[in-house]
Amino acid sequence: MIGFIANNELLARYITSSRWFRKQDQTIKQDAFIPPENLMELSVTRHINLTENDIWNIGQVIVRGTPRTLYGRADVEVGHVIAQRLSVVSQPVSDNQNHANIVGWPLAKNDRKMLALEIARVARFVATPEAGAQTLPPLTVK
Amino acid sequence: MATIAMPLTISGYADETKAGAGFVAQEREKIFETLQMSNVLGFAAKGTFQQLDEIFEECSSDGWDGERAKSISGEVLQCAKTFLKSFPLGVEAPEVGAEPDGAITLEWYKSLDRVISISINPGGWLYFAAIIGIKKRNGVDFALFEVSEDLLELISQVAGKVR
Repeated sequence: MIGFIANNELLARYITSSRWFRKQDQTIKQDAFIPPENLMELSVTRHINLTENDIWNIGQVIVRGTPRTLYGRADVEVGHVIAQRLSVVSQPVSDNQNHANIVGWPLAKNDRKMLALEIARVARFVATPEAGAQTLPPLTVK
Repeated sequence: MATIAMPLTISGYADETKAGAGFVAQEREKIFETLQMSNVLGFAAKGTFQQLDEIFEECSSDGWDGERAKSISGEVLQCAKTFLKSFPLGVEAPEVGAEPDGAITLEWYKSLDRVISISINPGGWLYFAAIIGIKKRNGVDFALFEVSEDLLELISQVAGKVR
């Protein structure tokens, strides 16, 4: 059932700022996991039932029509989010049936930063296929 | 790492005329600006202030992340600059970033277990979170005051000894 979110599910947070990941070791900064203050919910996309292509297509839809670039995504297991005493709720939208929100953020910003830092620490950065191809070593012809 | 402390405020000039104190303040400011341009000592030469201007440009309208991010205001930019100018010279430059709630971030990072992130938020509020080995710290301060000894100590534990 798509409304039920299991602890071992993967969530993707799209990386639309080049300053949300560290280029030197391809890790995620906590900046990417801070929710907008007026909503106190953080948009993510569940991997469940999606192919890699589907996941990237949803990310491209988010940046389409904006001057932003999709640099990649931060993948994190639901269990790591729950471990920070946050919740993940399914919130499908018209162009993303797998859309979900991370909710339950504490009121104090410094507490939110601590949780974001903990989540970012275990998140895995996945570069877009285009960016990934650019970083591959050149093919050698013998 | 050697540093030079140059407080932004001048006190102890009770016997000086106002004009004299003003002259001293101006000269002190000039020297500080010169040292800020030093490759070894200053955030200016290390490109930090330029990065702040760039991030302000990138994130000056709502929805800058392609979703629901709040824009970074000119006030937040100025607070970040004021805060950084209060640092003693010689501190390693932070990486500049932005958060979806309209804050500018300053991050000192060595590894996933040695990192401190400081947010400069509207109203001049400053929030920080740090992971330094098994130690975890977070707190709140005011960006328009000089950087506290406590924060400097945390930064030094991540980036290397400041004093």
